[in-house]
Amino acid sequence: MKAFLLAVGLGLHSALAAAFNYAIVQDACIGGIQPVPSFPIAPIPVGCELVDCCPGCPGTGPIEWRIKFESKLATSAELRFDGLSREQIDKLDVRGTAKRDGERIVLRPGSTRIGGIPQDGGAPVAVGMLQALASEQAATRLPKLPRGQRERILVEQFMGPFLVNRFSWTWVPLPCIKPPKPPVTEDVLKIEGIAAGEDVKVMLDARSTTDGCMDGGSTPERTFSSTGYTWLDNMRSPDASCRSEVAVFSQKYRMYWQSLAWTNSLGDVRTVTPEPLIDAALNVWITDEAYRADAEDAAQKAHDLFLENRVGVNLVWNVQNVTAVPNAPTNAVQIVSAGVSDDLFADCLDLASIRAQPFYIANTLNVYYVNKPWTGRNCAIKKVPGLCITSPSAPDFVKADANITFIGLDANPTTLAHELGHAYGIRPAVCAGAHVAPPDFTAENIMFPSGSTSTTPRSTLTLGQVFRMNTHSDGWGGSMMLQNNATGRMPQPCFPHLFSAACPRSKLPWPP
Amino acid sequence: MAALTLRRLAILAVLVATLPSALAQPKKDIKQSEQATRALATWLESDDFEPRRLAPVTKLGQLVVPSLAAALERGPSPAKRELVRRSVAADYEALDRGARPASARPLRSKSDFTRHYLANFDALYRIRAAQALGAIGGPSARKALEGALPKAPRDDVRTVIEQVLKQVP
Repeated sequence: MKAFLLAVGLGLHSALAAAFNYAIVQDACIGGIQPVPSFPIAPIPVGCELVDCCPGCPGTGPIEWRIKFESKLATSAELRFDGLSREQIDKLDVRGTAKRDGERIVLRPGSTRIGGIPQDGGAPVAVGMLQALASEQAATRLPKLPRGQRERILVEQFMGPFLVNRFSWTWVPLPCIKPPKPPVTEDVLKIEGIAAGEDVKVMLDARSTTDGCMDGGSTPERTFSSTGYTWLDNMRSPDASCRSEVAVFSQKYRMYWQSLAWTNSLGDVRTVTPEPLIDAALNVWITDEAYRADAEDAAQKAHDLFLENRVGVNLVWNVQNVTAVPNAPTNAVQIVSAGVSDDLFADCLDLASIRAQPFYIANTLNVYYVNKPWTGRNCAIKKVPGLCITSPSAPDFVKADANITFIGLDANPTTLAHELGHAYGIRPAVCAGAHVAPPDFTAENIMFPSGSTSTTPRSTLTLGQVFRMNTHSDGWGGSMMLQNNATGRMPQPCFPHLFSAACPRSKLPWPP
Repeated sequence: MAALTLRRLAILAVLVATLPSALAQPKKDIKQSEQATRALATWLESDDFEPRRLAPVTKLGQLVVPSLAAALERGPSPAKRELVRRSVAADYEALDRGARPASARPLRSKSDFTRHYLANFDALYRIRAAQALGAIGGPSARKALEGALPKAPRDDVRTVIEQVLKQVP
């Protein structure tokens, strides 16, 4: 049996930009005769995306699902309908490669139509619970799949001839070769301090005898997981044509980022010792006690998500009411409110008055909960640019204060985490890589532009994004992590749509 | 007799000639409807205001005014609500699994949490509909905005409708 495993990234997302959308991503390493992967169950509500279904639609009536199942890995899929009676299920008109098996429908690769799904436009809706299944034989085919091959189950919902909703479950088998135990004569990367049962994620730029230069320039960086020792082939000494550095990401340590000098000789051992998490103060200021529960939940959510995604900071949050802050003026709420416009643009306005108050703490993240009709706004840039720009320009796109974030009335549970991503340098939004469409970023990504498009909430950041949050500099102040927390790192411009040997691709995923 | 046959043939020829366009017209409508639905969904579900997400909606103009009016008056579809309900519930469960600082209040109940964020989503959805109607303008859009104003479910929605009505062409 080959010591060759594949990661399968399961992405449930639309094929086109941010409509009919939602996304789930799961990574699993499977190989050979190992137990087959456990695919997530995708809930697909029956019915229209829009409340009137679509321009020109009849509006109500039965739905037909047209399913395209294109896969070599998943050999079948099981579909159950929650919310439909047995009688209703028996009346479904199932055609194509699918077969009815009691209350479930078993899908096979090919095309299927399921007609006569009742829906009256009211609640509660029936929900199709779709789960792909892979056999052990299919798992053995994994290593033979072409790299980058996308497999999918596409579910399109029709009312008459009109497409009224759409769901695409796409998965991409990715190679994640776990290195075989090599001869002791080759080079070793040793990472200290990793507890038993834990691992860290490593991005290594270097040239080697076997692979040449792999630094993210013309060839991808090496990325891998490590539990302490990683045996490498013969790393070569640095030269001007190839970067030689390592970045280590962990849920328990801050990002480690250093150059590494290998020699051309065999047997180099380079030791990395990550430092503890950065304690980053997150001061949350509410203008009304009614916002306290939201503020606490959102701060805790951001704290949890940043740890889970190896940002390397421990957000130490504190929620206070601006009216109760000692020495706060009596018009504290008005001062905060005047910091941002209440129209759809949410422009950052009078931040100077806020910065002069005791409810602003310099060199910390300051978040204000305000009575405004939008979700959230980080104030790195005075106005949201309509085009991708990489330097400040007067009068609209000047530096404001990335340490100031406003959260409005219509926030969702991950709005604060999203805005703090901008505070940590992921911007401008319009540059590809921060707010972008699937498949590079699914609706699971914390920086996805909508927090309400998926059954799975925004919960992930890529390695490329986290690297930027730890290193990015620009004319708007760069990542506030560097300004606030004296990391000692040398900031570098690393805009989301750009990549080079110095900056990994924004979409660079975590290694399995 | 021959004249009658010729006439029949002529009618048949006309029918054959016009058949493709007769069939093509519905297909065009269907395609346009799909594109409109996609543009509407992208805009209505957008957290941040980004002009490039609104532009495809305004380009569609009066075609999408009825859908926007429905979104403003009724909010998201039941299928969309169900997706969001599940997402918010998953958010809650993740929060509930984690540790909270001792100084924080206990996490509110799942039903309160879900209801609250579903209401926020509903409000933002209606706000986006109002903003798009304002950007498109015209008598139908204005009528939809005026009709929705007294029925707005929350102050933030009402505020935005009022703002938009002041500016609608």
